[in-house]
Amino acid sequence: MNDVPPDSQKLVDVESTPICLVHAEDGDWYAINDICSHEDFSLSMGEVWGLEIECPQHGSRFDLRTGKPNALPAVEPVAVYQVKVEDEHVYVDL
Amino acid sequence: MSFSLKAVEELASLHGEPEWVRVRRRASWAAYERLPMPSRSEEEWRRTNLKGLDLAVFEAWEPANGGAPADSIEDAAAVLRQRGSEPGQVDVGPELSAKGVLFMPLSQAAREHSELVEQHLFKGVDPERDKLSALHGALFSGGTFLYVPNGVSVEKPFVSQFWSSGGGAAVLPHTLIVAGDGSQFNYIDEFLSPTLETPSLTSGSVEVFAGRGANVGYVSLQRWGNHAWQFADQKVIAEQESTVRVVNVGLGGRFAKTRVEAVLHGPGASAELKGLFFGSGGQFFDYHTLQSHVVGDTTSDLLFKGALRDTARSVYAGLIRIEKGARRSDAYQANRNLLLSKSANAYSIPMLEIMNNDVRCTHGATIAPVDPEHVFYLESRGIPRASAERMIVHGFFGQVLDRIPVGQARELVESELEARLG
Amino acid sequence: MATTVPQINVGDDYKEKYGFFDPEKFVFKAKRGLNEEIVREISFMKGEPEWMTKMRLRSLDIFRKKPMPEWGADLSVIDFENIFYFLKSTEEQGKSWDDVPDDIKRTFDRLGVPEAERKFLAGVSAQYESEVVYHSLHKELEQKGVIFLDTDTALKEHPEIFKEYFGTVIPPADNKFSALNTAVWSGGSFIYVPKGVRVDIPLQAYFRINAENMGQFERTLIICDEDSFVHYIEGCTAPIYTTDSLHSAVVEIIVKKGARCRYTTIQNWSTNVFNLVTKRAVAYQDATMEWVDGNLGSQITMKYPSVYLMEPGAKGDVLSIAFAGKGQHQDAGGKMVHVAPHTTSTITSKSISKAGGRTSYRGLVKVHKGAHDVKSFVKCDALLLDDDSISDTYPYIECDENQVNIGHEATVSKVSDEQLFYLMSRGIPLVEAETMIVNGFIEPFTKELPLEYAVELNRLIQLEMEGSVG
Repeated sequence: MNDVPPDSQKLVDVESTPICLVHAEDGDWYAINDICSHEDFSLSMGEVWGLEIECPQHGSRFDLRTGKPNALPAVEPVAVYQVKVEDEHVYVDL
Repeated sequence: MSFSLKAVEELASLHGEPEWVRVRRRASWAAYERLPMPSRSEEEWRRTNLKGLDLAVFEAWEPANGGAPADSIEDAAAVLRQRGSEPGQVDVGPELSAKGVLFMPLSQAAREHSELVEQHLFKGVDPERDKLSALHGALFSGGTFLYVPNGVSVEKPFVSQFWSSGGGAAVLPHTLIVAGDGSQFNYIDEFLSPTLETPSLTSGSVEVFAGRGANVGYVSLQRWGNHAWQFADQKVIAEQESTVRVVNVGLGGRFAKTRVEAVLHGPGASAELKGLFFGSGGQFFDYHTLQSHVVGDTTSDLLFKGALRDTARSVYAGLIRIEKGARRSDAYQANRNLLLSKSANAYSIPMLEIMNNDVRCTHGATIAPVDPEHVFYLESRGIPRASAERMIVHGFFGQVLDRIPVGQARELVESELEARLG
Repeated sequence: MATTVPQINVGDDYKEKYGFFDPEKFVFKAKRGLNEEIVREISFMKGEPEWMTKMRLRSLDIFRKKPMPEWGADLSVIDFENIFYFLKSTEEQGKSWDDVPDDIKRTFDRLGVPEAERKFLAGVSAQYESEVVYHSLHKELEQKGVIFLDTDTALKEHPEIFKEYFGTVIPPADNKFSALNTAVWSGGSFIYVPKGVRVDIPLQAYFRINAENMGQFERTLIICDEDSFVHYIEGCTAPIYTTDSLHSAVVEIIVKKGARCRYTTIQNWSTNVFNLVTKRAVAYQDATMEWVDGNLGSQITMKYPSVYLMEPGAKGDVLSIAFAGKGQHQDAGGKMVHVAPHTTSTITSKSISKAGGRTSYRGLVKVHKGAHDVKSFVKCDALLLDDDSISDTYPYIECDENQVNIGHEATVSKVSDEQLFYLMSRGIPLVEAETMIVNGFIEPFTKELPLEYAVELNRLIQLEMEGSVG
């Protein structure tokens, strides 16, 4: 938990699924599949804006809660996962 | 032994190759070590997913083992059989030998006809084009050399059969065909293996040098098992007034990438490039084709047809390039895709680069499902749906099947298609 | 209305009409080059809200990080440090025709605007230098609630609607030039058409580049609300200068349920301009988006108008022509992205290369998973007028769905000897005969244009064929 300060994100590997773990500015944790649905780029390299993450390559933005794209060029959603926080540890439910 | 310089040296010794071949292999090995894995940021590989390919897991070659299948093509001029990565065996009758025809494993040819082989080997295919081409250049294992002298016609086809039964290894045959001026013949490469648990790495690269006025038919029957990763480079150099007909049949492999390139090098040269591929399960086919009109008064005619079911995928990308001085070039390129299931998908990129105006150049691409009207028509005549679909696919491939120059090879493909559609 | 209409006769004296230099009259002229300070200054001069300043600065950052595209035309000669990123020609926006400065009127005169004004124009918004200086919007449209403003004014007057849509169709990070545009944009048109409103007369804007090394970064945003219709016409002409100019526009269009939008462009920049434009539309249920795109001028154009077909029944069309003469490279095309089932698209591209010019068609048809019952057809025809010219075709088809019908066809040919012989045997001189054939070749495009434009286009082709341009 301490690895990811608020308003930042980190790429984690959960059972060989790449996941972008986000500690959002609202203090909550979100887990979203790391691969942008538009082209094969890593969302964790992008920027978090409120409850959205922006792909660094073409600027597609995804809602961290639903995975839905809020800005083109992506049109397909990205998978999101349940996150649990227990004793300073963050758990992602695939 | 995994891929290493040591493996390269050992392979060269094993095949008893002359020094120049060894030097050639070393150069490719250096390129292999230097070059990165192809990445999806490169246009050619953008739609091609190499995830899951781990070059570290493969043995550098496969020893000859296992029972070989029955000869598929019986009525041949001569048949070369290769098992695993070791040089094959061939019996060329006295009649052909008397005509000066050379048909033998590539390594034997490199020893016995060193000059002729050196003049042509990797003069068509670029062994340093990318990491996988370089791997083939460094570790090609076995393969065929066919030389048909000037003016010699051979009616029955030459056949090479490459059989791999192991899995877990690299089987990288290389075919080198030198057609003398005015020669005429057909040649068939057959790549075969059962489907195995462990992945294997295969190639099947081909160079065809067609001399003036030669008339050459080349067929590649790719029937690797569904565990194989295949990367093949085919190159045809067609000299003046020569005619080369290439048919690619892609049926096997979990991942099969093939480059099919024809360079029309002399006026009056003509190349016909046909392809058919059928994908089922999770198979992936990738064809990149090139019709390069270097000089004028040349003709090229390309048709690639693919049918895909289940979650099979394909990428076809082809370029017609007509150089500035290549006047009166006539080029045609078509890619037709038939999608038999909801989850199958096809990408098609037919491209043109035309640098002079005195040309005839047309291309087209289509992606479509089976026309429900056709199914309806057949069903209304009492033909069950499955058979109707089979007939439609058969009809769809007909144009390409008809271009396979050897009846037996055609039947072989037809029966395999039948079996897989059944 | 009885006054004689000055005829726009491009054929007679192109140089005088188009190669003019009105004395530069700038209120504010930013320094050459691009840095944070300039971007802040632009935003400050325009009195923009903070979110826009921030977005501009971020876009500048993205622009710097993004590499130049490695495909398409050769862009290595662009010197981003040698460009003015902002100019403002007069303090106040022109309100009526009388307020429009005389020199701008003269420009319009040469472009034939008064004629158009008299005949059918509802509103003209002309971008002179970097800002829109003149607007007139027909009363009737105003009453219907149609907003037709320059983009800067729209940001001031309609901030909420602006913020909702700006940058959602083309985010700054989409490509290097959309990032550049978002950092330094100025001018352009903003159109909002309310529900059910049909704008029967085309809305038009004329753009010009008129200063040496003058960058032009207009930003257009069009929102067609449900069941509305609008036709927007963008025409560009530019005088010829000796050093390179950069035109890098971004056009975002949202076409809602049942609406239809047509966007017509006649691009005739002078042959030293780099025209690198991102145009994209989203079309929702039963909506139609049509790009009618003509590229005649510029040294290099890279432009691929696209339509994202988001909901069933959406339809996208691109109809484009490109003409490349000596030293020109027109790299143009279209993109159709089928996101939803039951969507259709067509791309028709006609290109002509002459005197060593190069035309490239570059296009994409993408069918996403689940977008079944899609129909798409692409047809590209290229005409090579001589042996030095080049034509390329790069059509990409990416299909992830099987219940689709997708076709692509292309041909490359020269002017047929039979046709030429036929015309010449009837006493028509060679150049004229060729011109007739070329005009026939692009007729599918011309017939979609308002009459004035069609006439102008045919005259321009005539000039190109005679070699008197560029």
